[in-house]
Amino acid sequence: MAYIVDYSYINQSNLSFGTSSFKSEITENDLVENNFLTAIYRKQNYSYPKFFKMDNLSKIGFLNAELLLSHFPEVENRKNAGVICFNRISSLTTDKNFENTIIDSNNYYPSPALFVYTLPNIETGEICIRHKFMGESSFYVTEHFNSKYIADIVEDSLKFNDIILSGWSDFVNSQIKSLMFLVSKDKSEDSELFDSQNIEKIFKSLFL
Amino acid sequence: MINILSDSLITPLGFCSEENYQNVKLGKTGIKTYSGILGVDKQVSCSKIDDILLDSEFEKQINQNSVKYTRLEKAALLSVKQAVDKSEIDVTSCRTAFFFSSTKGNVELLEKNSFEEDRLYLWHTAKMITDFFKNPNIPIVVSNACISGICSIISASRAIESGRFDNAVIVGADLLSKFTISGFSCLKALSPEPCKPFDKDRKGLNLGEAAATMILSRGDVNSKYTSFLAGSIRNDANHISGPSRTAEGAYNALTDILTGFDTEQIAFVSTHGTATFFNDEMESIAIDRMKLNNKPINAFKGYYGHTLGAAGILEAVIASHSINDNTVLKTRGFENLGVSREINPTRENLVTDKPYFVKLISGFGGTNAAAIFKKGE
Repeated sequence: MAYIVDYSYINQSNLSFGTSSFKSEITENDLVENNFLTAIYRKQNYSYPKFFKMDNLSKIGFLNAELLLSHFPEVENRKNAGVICFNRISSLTTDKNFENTIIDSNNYYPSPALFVYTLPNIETGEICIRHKFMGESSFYVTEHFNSKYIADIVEDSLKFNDIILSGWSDFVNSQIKSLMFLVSKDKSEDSELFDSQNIEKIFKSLFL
Repeated sequence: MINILSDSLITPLGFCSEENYQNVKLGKTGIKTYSGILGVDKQVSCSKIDDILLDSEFEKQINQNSVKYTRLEKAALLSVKQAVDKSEIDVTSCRTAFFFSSTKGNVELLEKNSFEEDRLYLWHTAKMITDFFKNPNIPIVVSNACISGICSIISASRAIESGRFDNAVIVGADLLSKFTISGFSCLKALSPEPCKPFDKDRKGLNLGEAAATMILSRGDVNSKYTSFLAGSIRNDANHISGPSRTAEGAYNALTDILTGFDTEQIAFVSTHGTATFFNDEMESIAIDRMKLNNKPINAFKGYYGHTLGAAGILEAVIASHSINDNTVLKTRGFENLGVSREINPTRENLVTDKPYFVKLISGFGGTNAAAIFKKGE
């Protein structure tokens, strides 16, 4: 059995982000000089300079993990903590940026920092580095948000990991939609089951 | 128990797994040295599938006009078709899962796309495969850098063990593109000459092309062919593009699968062995920490180059054929040990009577995986 410890989300269409118990919004003022993800970073006063080197997919993963894990310091540095992420577009947005760079034959060998982010699982890698998670890290791609597959795959992985950070990070019409769960084998008093129904219910309450 | 019912490889060394295995056993390689391949302005050594052969085999075996498909789709469909035909499973059943592992899929279409936009998505390639075989399930794409293939095998075995499926078709495919050649070049990871895994003169990796398929099934009795025993995936939590200096993730993955296991029974470790300085050094540390220093280890990159998302499946298939042939294959390109730990890469094909082999693999994002397989009865 798998249980939801808590979840966090980022929703660009209504400029909101937060966890189950905390919601914040980005105002036009916050956005003047920053893009949406940087505005969240600034608003939360995070200090992790590597953030600025990341592509958007990794930034989303980083921010969601910060929002979520700031409430659970006991989870940091857990050898058997894993990260399993899902999305629809893989790293295609970053792939297109890379392709647009190398299309110019004078720029066929750009900075290596660009190429590394043309893999979606760099998102999971960045989270593992930040929180010293040394369990399983995996990235899956499905055509649509699929709560059944997320529930099944994470429950399978939980047999080999104590706790898993798992979620969906995608761009719909260039708008960020991301939901991340902290999932545990252990049931606490008010924790809900991490099953297809509950995942779907939370996703719909935030994004539809 | 998870049995492997059948497999198939589409590579420059052959269009079925038996042909591939025989060519590897004879020491042949698919790697050639080119100048000007895909419009790249310098010398590149890589392993490329012949276009004309791919089209003719595709039209003969799949019976469809090859113009409608990308090179990647043709190689993947051919590979799955062969493995499915040999296995006799019902691919149209909802009890048969499909897994597709790839890092870059149809990325070559970013440069020039004469197909629809959706062809760029990994899920689209996977769905095209399930549609072709009239499988009713939504396919699962694993895109976990260079360990994607082994992750697919591990993920599929869990899906079968949990009872959700009876069989799983696992296909991995990645091809050469200007995109990946540029990327690995700017990381200074490419060797202009054929690669030399674990060698003191190694200069980096070669890229290669492959589509590789394995069909897994729940089984109560020991398989005639190979079976999958256990697998583990572990992150280094260290660096996004460099391996851990203490081989933390690889060591942890090996520890997970080998704790309590009699390592005397292991014939060999099939390593990742990309022939980059850092990868091979890291693997030597993992093997040393596991005290497997005297165990024969090999790497198949000298035959195929690095086939990215296909690598784990390709190498597990070749290793499976070799253990069923009581053989430990040589590490093509290896001559003199060039890593800091005393380990034992093969220089020749060896005879073995031991029944197990270990597959080790690592990738960007700090990912590592290890898996253990058993020869057929």
